[in-house]
Amino acid sequence: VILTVVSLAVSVAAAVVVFRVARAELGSALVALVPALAVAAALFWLPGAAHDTLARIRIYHRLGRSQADLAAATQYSLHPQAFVRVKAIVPPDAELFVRGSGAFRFWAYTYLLPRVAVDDPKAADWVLEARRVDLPGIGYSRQYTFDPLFLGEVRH
Amino acid sequence: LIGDVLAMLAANGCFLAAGVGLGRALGMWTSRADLVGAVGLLYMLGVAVCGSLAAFALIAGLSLELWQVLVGCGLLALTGLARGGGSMLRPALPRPRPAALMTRAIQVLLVGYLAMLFVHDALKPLVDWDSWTMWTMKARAIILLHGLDPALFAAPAYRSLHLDYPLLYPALEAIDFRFMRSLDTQVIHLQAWLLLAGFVVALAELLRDRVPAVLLWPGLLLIGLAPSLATQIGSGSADAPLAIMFALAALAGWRYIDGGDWRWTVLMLAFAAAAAAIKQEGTVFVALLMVTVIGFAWSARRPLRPVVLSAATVFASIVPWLVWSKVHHAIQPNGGLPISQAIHPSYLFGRVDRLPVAVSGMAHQALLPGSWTAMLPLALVLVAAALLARRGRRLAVFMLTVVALTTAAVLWAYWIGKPDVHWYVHQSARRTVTTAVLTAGVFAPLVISELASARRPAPVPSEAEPDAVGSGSVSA
Repeated sequence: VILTVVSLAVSVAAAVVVFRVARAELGSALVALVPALAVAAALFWLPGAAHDTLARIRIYHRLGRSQADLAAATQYSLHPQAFVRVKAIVPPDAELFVRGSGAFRFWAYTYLLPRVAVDDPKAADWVLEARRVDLPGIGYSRQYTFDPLFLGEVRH
Repeated sequence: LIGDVLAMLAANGCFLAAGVGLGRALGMWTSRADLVGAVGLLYMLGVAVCGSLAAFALIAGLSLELWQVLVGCGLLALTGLARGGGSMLRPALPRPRPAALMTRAIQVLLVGYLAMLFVHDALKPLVDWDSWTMWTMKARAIILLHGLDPALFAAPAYRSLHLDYPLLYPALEAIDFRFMRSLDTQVIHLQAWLLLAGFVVALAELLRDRVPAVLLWPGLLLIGLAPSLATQIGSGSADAPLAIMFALAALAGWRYIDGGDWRWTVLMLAFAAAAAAIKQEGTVFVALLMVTVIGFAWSARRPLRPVVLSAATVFASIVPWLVWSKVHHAIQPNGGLPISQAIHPSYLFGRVDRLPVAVSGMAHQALLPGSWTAMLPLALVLVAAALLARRGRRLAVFMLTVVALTTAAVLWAYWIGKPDVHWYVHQSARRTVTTAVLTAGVFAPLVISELASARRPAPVPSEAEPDAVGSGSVSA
């Protein structure tokens, strides 16, 4: 409520000043109304926007670089620490088959770069699944479970 | 963090240097004072040209290594050795003391607000869906895979990443990463912030000789403080950069129609090519803009050759990406947006019930006070007033045409699209209205200025005769 009152007061006061200046210069009250309305409309949202932005700055300021790098995974509950371990195991030049929800696949695509994804598990070096599902015809030489993620090296 | 911010600023300093050179060749500045008064527009020109060329460089097999960027920007800066003719940009209209004080107060407010957004965007983690799944992801891929690797940029596994989208924005971010020598996903948000700051300054420079400060700066305040623009800039998605480039192209197109100086069509070309190279819909918007500019130039009896040449160059600039995508089979049939059915009467008639949902969803987003404040309503009222008052009618109709056509293009996509229209509009209307609303916002000060023109002093004459075609001819 205080913020709304402040916003209203600031925008009305500024609009009155702009109206007077514009009318004096342009000689038309009707034309002067337009910049006054523009300033009022712009400033009405400013205190709220500034308040919210400063609040977010305080939150972001507390984030470390590694937390920031994993922020999307954290936001979408994609087991960021499991992905850190996957990244440590899978070589950078490996090809992955990724199976899971849209967010899971997108995060794997992004975070595990330069490892690239393929759409056929038989063509992949590794399989990464949001949950273990037996893929027909695929055997693994190494397997890891980072509950609930499954990572397996495909035996060719 | 500070090192990465400085690296980001250095990258954008290179874009500015390129813009300064190109601007000199074009005649946008001839003295040091001119240069200071054109820095925003020169920066935006540099970003547009460097971004477009960076996308071409990727297609040509380069990987945007630091030396490649430095050489490219250096060569563009050297074009400034060829001096253009008289200055395209004119000084501001005379401003009385109260208006000067008001202008200063608004400038201080804008600088303070943008400074706050700068800190916010430099610290913000990469959490917005489109940015971490697509835009910045592609920039990271360009760095980590050393260029445009078809194993990602044309692979079926990545189909959902909109592989057909052009590359300007990821290329810009990749250049930033090169300068940082790290993949700082927080500081990368500043690229869009720099575009916003450059855009506001460029608008002031583009309009200062046409719009009195007392009308111009409240309009710029309305644009600079629009909550939706700040949100989109901070999100790292490409909709706001597209809208910014498109609005500048539309303004440059109008300046040609209004004044006849062919050099404005070169600026229009640079900004339109950049808009077309940011997103798929940018190509459609730009095509509609070009048709509009050609039509209005014809009705204003301006020579059509410069604008037709610009339009042809813009469309030629799209070809390399289309060829690359076709050769690598990156273009997949878009089941969600069946273009082949776009003008099929029975298909369209059978889905006509989608239109009211799309119209109401877009109108809601465009008129939502917490998103765009009063930008669109004010612009539409001004257009209506100009039409009724028979003053500045050509400008009003031009603005209305551009805004209506870009809106119609988005509505058409909602109409023919396959996804549930409620979901579709809910997910995207907040972003898809940006180009139309921002374009309306940048033309609004011009329209009000035309309405008020009988009551203000005549503009200061320029060095170059604006009506003389070829007045800015390049001389060594």
